[in-house]
Amino acid sequence: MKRLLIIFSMTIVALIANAKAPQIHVEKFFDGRYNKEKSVRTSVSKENGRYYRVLHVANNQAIVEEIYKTLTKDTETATKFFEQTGEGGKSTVVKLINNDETINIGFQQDPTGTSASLFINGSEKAFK
Amino acid sequence: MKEQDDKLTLQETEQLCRLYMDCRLSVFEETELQYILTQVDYHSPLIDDVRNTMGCEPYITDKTSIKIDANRKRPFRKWTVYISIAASIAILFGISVTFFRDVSTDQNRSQSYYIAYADGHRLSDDAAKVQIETDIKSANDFFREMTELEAREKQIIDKFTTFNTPEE
Repeated sequence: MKRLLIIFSMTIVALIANAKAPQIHVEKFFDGRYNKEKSVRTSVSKENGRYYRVLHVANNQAIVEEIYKTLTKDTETATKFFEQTGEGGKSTVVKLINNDETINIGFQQDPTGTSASLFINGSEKAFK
Repeated sequence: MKEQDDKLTLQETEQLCRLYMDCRLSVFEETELQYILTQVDYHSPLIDDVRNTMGCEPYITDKTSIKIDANRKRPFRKWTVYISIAASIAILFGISVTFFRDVSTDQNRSQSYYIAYADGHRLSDDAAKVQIETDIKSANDFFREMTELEAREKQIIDKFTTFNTPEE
């Protein structure tokens, strides 16, 4: 009985894990948590089967750091990762593949690390 | 298991009973223990307790008359059943939540939308569209610049690698 239950549970977990679209960690910043935050500007849109999510942070180092920390989790499952640090600040690009479609995640922060922009885009199919 | 003429000792029987009470015997082994308890005349608090739990009497010659009490009290097994039921309900709940969330997400994705927030409040549709167009342009410019930059960096690395590769 125990064995059967364990096998059943494991099968269900495996099926859910297999069927679920890849979780994009930085997507959580678009769940409305910063809607009342004056230092953050967000936009979420879908047009012609393409999704765009953009977030700008101005003069808020804590949020910038949190976004960058979360972004590093997405790099673990990324198919492509590119980062450039220079006088103009730090720019990061992370690419994830799902359903043979690419999800692009971009992050650009100024040299002081207090202002930044986060971009996510991809086709509708990629998010399914 | 030993044959009838090669009976278990009292200690061995008690050991088996202890394993039974700890729920460490398989169903087959439990059946064997039940048979043994009907064949031996050992008595101890533990053995008698197991006999009572199993609902069997010693020295029953007619083995077909052995009946197991269906409602026997076995606290460990009882808890296992409750835990199994709770786990099953939790699994079903998890599946349904995941399913309904995905369905609602799909419905949201089937239509175009423009939502934008700035300065702590939601923008009107027109203002949102203007902001989103600017944001999309920023995003596309950023990704294009990064693609070009990456290509340039790759070129430099390729040149460096070629330069350092000894000619054959």
